[in-house]
Amino acid sequence: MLPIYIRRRQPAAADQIDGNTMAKVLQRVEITLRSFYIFNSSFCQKEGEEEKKVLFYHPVDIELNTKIRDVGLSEAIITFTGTFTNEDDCKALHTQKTTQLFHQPEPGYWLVMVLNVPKEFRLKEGIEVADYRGVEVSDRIYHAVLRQCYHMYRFHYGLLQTKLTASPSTAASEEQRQLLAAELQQFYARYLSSSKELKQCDIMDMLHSIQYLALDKTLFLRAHNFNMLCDTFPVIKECIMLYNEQVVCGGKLNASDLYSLHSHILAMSSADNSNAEKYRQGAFVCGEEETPIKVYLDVDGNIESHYLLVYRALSLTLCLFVDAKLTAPQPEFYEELNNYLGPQLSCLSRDISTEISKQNVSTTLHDNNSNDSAPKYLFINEQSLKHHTNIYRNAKSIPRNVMSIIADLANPINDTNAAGNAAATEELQVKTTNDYWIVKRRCNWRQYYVILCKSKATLLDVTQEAKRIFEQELTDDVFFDK
Amino acid sequence: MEQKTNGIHYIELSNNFIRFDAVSQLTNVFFDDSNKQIFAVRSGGATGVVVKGPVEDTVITFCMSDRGGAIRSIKFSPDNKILAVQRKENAVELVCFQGEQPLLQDIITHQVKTLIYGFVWVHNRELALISNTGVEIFQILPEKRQVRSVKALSISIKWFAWCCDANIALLCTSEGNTLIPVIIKQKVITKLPKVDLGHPGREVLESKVTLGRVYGVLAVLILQANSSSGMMEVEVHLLNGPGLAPRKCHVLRLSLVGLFAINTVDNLIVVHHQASGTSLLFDIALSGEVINDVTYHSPITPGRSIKPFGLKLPSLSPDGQILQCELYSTNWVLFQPNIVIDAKLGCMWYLNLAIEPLCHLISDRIRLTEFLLQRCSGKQMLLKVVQQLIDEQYKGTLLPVLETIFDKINKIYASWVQLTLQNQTAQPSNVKTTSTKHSAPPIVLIEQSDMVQVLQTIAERPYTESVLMLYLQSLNKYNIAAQEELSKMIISELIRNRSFDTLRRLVSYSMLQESKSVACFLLAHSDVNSAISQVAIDMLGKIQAHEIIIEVMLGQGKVIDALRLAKNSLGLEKVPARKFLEAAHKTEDDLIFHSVYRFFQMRNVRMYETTAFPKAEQCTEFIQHFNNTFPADSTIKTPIS
Repeated sequence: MLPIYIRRRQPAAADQIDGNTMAKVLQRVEITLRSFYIFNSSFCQKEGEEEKKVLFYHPVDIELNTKIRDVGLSEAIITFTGTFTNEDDCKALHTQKTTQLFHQPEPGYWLVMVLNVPKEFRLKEGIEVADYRGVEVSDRIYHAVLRQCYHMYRFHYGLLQTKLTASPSTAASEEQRQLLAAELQQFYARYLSSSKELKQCDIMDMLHSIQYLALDKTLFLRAHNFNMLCDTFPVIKECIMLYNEQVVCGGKLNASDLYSLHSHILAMSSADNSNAEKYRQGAFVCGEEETPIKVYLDVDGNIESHYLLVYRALSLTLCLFVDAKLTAPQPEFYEELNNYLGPQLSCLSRDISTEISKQNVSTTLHDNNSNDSAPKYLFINEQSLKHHTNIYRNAKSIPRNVMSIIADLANPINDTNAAGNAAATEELQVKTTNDYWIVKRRCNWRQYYVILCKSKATLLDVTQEAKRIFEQELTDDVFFDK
Repeated sequence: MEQKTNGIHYIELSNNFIRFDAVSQLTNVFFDDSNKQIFAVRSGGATGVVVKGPVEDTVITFCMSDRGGAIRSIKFSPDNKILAVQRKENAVELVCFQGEQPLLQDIITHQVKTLIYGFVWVHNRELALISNTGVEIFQILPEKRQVRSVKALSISIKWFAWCCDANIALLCTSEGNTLIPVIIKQKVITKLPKVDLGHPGREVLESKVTLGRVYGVLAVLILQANSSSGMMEVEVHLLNGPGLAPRKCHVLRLSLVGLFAINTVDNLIVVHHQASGTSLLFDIALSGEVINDVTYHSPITPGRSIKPFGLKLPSLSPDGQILQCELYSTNWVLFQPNIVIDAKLGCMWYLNLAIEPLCHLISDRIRLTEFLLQRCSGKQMLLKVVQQLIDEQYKGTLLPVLETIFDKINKIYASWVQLTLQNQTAQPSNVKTTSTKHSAPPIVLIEQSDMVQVLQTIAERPYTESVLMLYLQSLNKYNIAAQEELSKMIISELIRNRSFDTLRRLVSYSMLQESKSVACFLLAHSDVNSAISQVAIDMLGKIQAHEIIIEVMLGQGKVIDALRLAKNSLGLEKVPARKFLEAAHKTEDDLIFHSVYRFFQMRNVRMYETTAFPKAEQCTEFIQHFNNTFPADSTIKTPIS
């Protein structure tokens, strides 16, 4: 028998157990973004120049003094915690009504996200009382959301520090600072308005994992070998293929860049409302007349800029990265590529569609009995950041507290490359107060979660049920304890 | 004729030629294409007959009396025991041999009432006579000095042609000028459906017809002028229809006029044109223009002459004198499949294909691959072509070409693998193995190991990964698994290019060989990135190589994980205590040591009903270490409260 740790999520449970459960919830306000700002203290050399260190503040229409005050407070907290730990160890600050998250991606540059915690209005002895539920906010999830805010910026604009090359306290430096501020304003105004609702952020946002398309090996090789395009057209440095929203081949892209690219393509697809007819024979998604957008990729630790060309044929999307050190691609190049890609890609797309529809027939037969109470599972490969899950397959998702527990259980991905006990084997079973069971296994750089909802289950039942799901769903990966 | 000395020649005369006495007033020369023997007959045989062939060294010399009448034809039986000589148009003399000498007193003269066109040996003691009234097989009984008719086919014949390889004679009937192929074997004569000549009454001259075997099928090659352009063409009728019915399958466009002669070399049809002194090559396996189910071929390359041949004349001076032989001479006589005889010079050659120069003439690499895959000496050349293509001639744009070449090679490879597998799969022992004849391997078989040798020459180039992945894709297309060498090479290239994602997926799809050796190869590179270590353990897990995984985990200091796996895979009884205690001790982590020690104590309780370790396990030092580290812990407590 393996060791089993039974653990209770204390704070979340406490509310429900005490008398408050009796009080009726009148209204619930979900988590919202209170503010989001970026600052760099080194821009304020003299007193009275405090506004200079605020590079971006959301919402914009707020009094400058408030902005400066908020930034100042954050600076103070960072400095304060710095006396106890490393300077960039300040991660989160909880107050009754807010949760503040801090992230320093580049030296001196801090991103701060202030969230209004969810609150519930209850009737307590005839009086309406606001109950702030700060414990429902998972630091790890929202910290990852904050980190992604930076990564998306970097994906589009490159490193922050490269924007300021002039020596400090000069006119040139001030000009560059203003340019950077304008750029940040331009990017985040759009990004924050279009990004996902905060209350929906979950474990997937935390791990930055991507669902890959499961393909038959022959088709996979065909798709993979499509990247010989890079040999045919040497200016193309990298080539990533997506089928609808799933990644077919990730190439050699860094996992976080791939995630950023994936989000970018998703955003682009939803914005692009030209009809499907255009892509029947294959076409570039962005107009050929415009200069293609530049993106910044992490190539062996260096951030390098590339032109991103997005080509689509039927359901396949091909992202081509052209070295931006060269001149922007000319119309002839588009023409040539179009002639080359169009027929091949649409043919491949059709073959994949046929394969997928075949797969779907078998899975729908298999999944027919699934309903909301069916067990959920989530498997993540820490190395490839590939996930396999059915959490979203049904309308009803997992309760927030369960999601928070998973977030707490999940091993952070970034540290895995450190050798040593990184790939330790673990097995955990957690029972929540609302009768959910979470079984976690970790082995060979993979994390596996099975979420069950059974009120009267015993440890033995849960173990067996989890075992069944592992055996049924884990077909490609190896699990020693199976 | 003017010799083209410079330039490329794809056809050459073999060096193992045969010299014989040239035709003169005294000497007559005969050639038997069945036995490939050349007969130099001096004075009707009275002053000697020299038989040479099929190689220079095989010589039979004898004398026989000139029995009147010039020799028309002379042929040995396949075992060289009986010599058949035709001197009159209605008689054949049969001379028995003892050793190399004829028994001249025992000559059997077989006389018939018909006009003999010729005779062929179909067996050591059976001779088929083809005459104006038909075909008749005779059995010769030398002991009784008798000749007995065995089988006869009655048909009026104008002329005939014989293909000794296929034992097929093509008869041209006097009535209606039809061409009828006939199989003549021991005691059997089988008439096949006639050759469809298009319109009835078309007369085909004997000199226009050649019989040859191409790709194992008898081909009737008929030279004729194109009705519209007047240019000469060769109609190829293949005996591959139902019941070996001849079908007009191909037409070779010569685009020339004049005199032609045809040979077949290595399944290629070689058409010699005397006027221009060139030979055209045709391969009916290559694609051509198809009209009404007939494929029209053009020569593989523009015609070129046979390579000039210098004949070293016997001379007293050491350097000798070299005679440049006249090519396409009027003295040449051609025999099937690839024999050239210059009767005046007294020389017989075999025509050979010079494959290397030919490769330079075919610039389309895919066509060249198709061509080489059908040539018996094509393997080395094809490997060389691939080698060049991935090495000095490499271009990214050529990858699709490479893909096609790999596919063509592997298609043949796969069919051969399939065939050998079928032969290996045990048939029920009571079933009589009907297919006892072992199927011949393909003409050119390029196996994975051959290809890997070529691919290894481009290791660690920027594009190597692409080439390897293409080859893997092609193998996969034909359901051939990657072998160890290829798997390792792919792994090396992927690691070098840091394509860990591809590596991971190849392993998860089992597209690389799954063996301990490959997994250990992966493990050896696991210091590059932890992804490799994950992939290696995945592979070990797939092949259930738990012992190695346990060793890997112990090496990483994950004693508890290793112990858990050992317990599950080996079973509780077989977990070696000393090994794990030693590893736990090495971690210098007391908690781990304690856990491991207690695990084994519990095991001891279960197996031996005591916590003590058996002596055989040699754990004394660890028992001591445990007692020193945890002195108070002398009684067993229940581990979980």
